[in-house]
Amino acid sequence: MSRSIIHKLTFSSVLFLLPAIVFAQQIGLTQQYWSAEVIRSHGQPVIPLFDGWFQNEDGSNTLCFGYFNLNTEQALDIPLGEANYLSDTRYPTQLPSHFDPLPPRYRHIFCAFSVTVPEDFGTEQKIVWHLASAGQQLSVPGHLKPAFVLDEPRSDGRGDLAPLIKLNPDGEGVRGRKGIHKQEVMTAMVGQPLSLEAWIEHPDTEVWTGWSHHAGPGSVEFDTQETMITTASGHASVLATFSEPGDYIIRLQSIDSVAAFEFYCCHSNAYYTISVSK
Amino acid sequence: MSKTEQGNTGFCLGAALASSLLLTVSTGALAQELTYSRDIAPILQEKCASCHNPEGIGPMPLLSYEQVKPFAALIKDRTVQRIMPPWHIDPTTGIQQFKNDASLSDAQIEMIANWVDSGAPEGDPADLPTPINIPSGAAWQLADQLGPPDLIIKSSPYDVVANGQDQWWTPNVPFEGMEKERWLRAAEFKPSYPLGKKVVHHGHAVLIPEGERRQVALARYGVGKSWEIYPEGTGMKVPANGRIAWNLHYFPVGDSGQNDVVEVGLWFYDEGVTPELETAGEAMFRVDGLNGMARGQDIVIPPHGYQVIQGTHVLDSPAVIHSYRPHLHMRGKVMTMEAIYPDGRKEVLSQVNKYNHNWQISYLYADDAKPLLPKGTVLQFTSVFDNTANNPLNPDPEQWVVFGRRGVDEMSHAWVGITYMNEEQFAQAVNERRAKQETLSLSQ
Repeated sequence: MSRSIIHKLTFSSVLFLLPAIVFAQQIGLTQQYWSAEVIRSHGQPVIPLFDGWFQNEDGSNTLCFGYFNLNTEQALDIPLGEANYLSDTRYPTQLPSHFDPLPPRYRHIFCAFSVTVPEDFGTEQKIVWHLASAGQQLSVPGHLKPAFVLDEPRSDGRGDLAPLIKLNPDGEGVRGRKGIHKQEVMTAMVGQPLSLEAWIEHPDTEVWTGWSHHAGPGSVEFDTQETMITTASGHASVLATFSEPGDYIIRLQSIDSVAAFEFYCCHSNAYYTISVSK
Repeated sequence: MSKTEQGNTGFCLGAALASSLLLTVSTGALAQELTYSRDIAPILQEKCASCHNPEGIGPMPLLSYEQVKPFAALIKDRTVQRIMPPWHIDPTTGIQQFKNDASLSDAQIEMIANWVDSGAPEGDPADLPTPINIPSGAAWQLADQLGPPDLIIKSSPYDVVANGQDQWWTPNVPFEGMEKERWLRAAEFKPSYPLGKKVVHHGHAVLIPEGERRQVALARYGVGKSWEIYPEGTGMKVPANGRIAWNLHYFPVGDSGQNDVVEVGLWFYDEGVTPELETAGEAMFRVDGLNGMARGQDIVIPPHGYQVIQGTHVLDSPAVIHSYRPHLHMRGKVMTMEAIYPDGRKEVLSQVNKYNHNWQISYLYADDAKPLLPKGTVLQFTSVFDNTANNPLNPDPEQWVVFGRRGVDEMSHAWVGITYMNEEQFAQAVNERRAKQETLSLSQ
C-alpha cells in the first residue's frame, strides 16, 4: 500500500540537511561526510574495501580485499605503483589494476584478491591498500580483528559452501577465496578470442560464475561475462578477446548464488595469466 | 587501548563527572533522605527488573539491596548518561507517548544519583514495594495477559557455534495445527532460554500461504522487541496452510549449543470473530537503495566520517501507525521518520538519535498518539551513519563501510507497525480521536 521512491541528496542538500538533522543530535561534524549520491555514470573513484579475514589450516591467516567502483559506466585502470599498492610487500598477492563499473544489482566486488599472512601476524598489525583515482587518495586497512572474521570455505548457518574450482578436469581443485592460480602462462593474439576454462564442483545443481578483467593494459571483451552453470558437467568457459598486447590476469569467481555474496560466504576465485601479443 | 576505547572512556568520565557535580550542588540536602527501600527499589522494579533478574538478559540481577549496592556507582553512571535503561528516542522532537517507555524521568535520574552520592543507604526494608511477578526466561511473556498461546510454531534445530562470523539460519518448515483461516491477535517470538536469548540477534517467522506468493509476517524479533499485541478490532489474517520461512540471525558470543530451537506463540481472536481492520504487522520501509538500485548500493561511509541517506514512501491508502523500529548496524546513529502530508505540512513523527545496534527496540505508540495518516502522505526516513571513533560500537573507524548482512557492514530500514484503512474507516478513526481530545480538553 505504499510506493517507494528514492530521494537523492545532492552535495549541497547534504550540507543543508546536516545542520538541521545531524548537528541537532550533537554529532560533531568536524570530520568528513559523504553525499548519498555516490553512484554516478562517470567521474567517481574506486573505493578499496576490506572484506575480512579467515584462518587457514596451517595457522596462517588470509586477508580479503574487494572494491566498489562508484561508476556505473566507467571502468577504471589504475596501474600498480604509487596509485595502487599495499603498505607491506612481503607477502605475495594478486593486486587488481582494472576495476569494472558497478553492475546495477551488485553491492561491490567481493574479495577480488587476498593476502596470506603468517601465524604470528598480530591483531594490531595491518596491511593497507592504497588506491588513488578520480583525484582522491583512498586507502583501507586489512587486519585480524575478531569482528571481521569470515567463514571459509563453509558457513553452517546458511549451509553455503565455496565451489571447488579445477583448471583442468583431472587436476587438483581449490575451494575458497585464496583461489587457484593457473601455473602456466597462456598466450593470445590481440583481437583473437582465447578460450578459458574451469571445472566446478558443488552440491547444488547450479552455481554462478563471473569472469573479470583483473589486471593488464587495454580492455578485455568476454562473450558471456557471467552465467549460471550446471554442476552436472561443471564445465565453465568463456571467450576473452584482448584489445592491446601485454600481460593480463583474468579472474573467475564462482558462488552458489550471486545473492550469497552479501553474506560474505562463500565464493571461490581462480586467476589466469595471459601474455597477449600483436 | 584503541582510539575508540579512549574516545568513549573520555566522554563517559567527563559526562559522568559533570552531571555528578551539578546534581550534588543542586540537590545535596535532599540526598540525605533517600533510601533504597523507599525511593530506589520502586524505580528499579519498574524500569530495570524485566531484564535485570536471574533469568533476564541483563548481566546482573538488580532485585535486592544486596544485588544493587555493589553496582550503585555503575547504575548512577549509566542512568545519568541515559545509556540505561535502553531507550533511544529523541525526547526533544516527535511523539513522546509510548506504551513501552522504558526511559527514566529527569527526576528519577537525579534521585538515583543523589542516593548513590549519599552512600547508597538501604533504609527500612519495610518500605520496599510489593515484589512483582517476573516471568521465567523460558516463559511466554504474554502469558500473564493472554494465557498460553493458541498455537506454537517451532524452527528447525540449529547447532550454535561459539565464535566466528554472523550466522543466518533459514529453515523452511510446514505450517501445521490450524484447520481453517484465523485472525491473529498477538504473537510472541521466543528464543530458547538461556542460550537463544544470548545469541539470537533478530529474526522473522513469515508464513508463505500454500499456492500463493504473498507473505504473512507472523512475528518479527529483535533484542528489545519480542511480542506484538494488535489493538482491539485489528488483526492479521492467517491462512490455515503453508510453510514458515524462518530467518534467524545468530550472533556468536562465545557460547555454543546443539539443537537450538526458536518458538513463536500465536494468539487468535475467537473463531467467528472478524476484526474491522486487517494489519500488515511490521512492514519494512527501506531507507537504502531504492529506485531500482541494488539494496544498500548507496551506502558508502568514509573512514572517520558520516553519511546521510533518505528513503521516501508514498502511502496509497490512509493508515495508522502502531510502532516504529529502526534497523541499522554498528555505524547507525540516527533514524528520523517524518510525515509529509498531502497539504505540504511536514512533521517529525519520531526520531531515534542514540541508535544502538545491540538493541532493536520497537517503540509502541500510545493509542491516542498513533499517527493517523491520510492517503498520499509521504513517509520520509533519514538515516545518519557515524563511522568515527566517537561511536563506541564502531569496530574500526578506518574502514570504508558498505552494505552487507554482517553487523560490521551496514543497512538501513525501518520496521513500521502499520494498518491500512479505507477512507470510511480513516474518517471514523479521525473522528474518534478528535472526540477523545475534545473530551480530554473539556475535562481539564
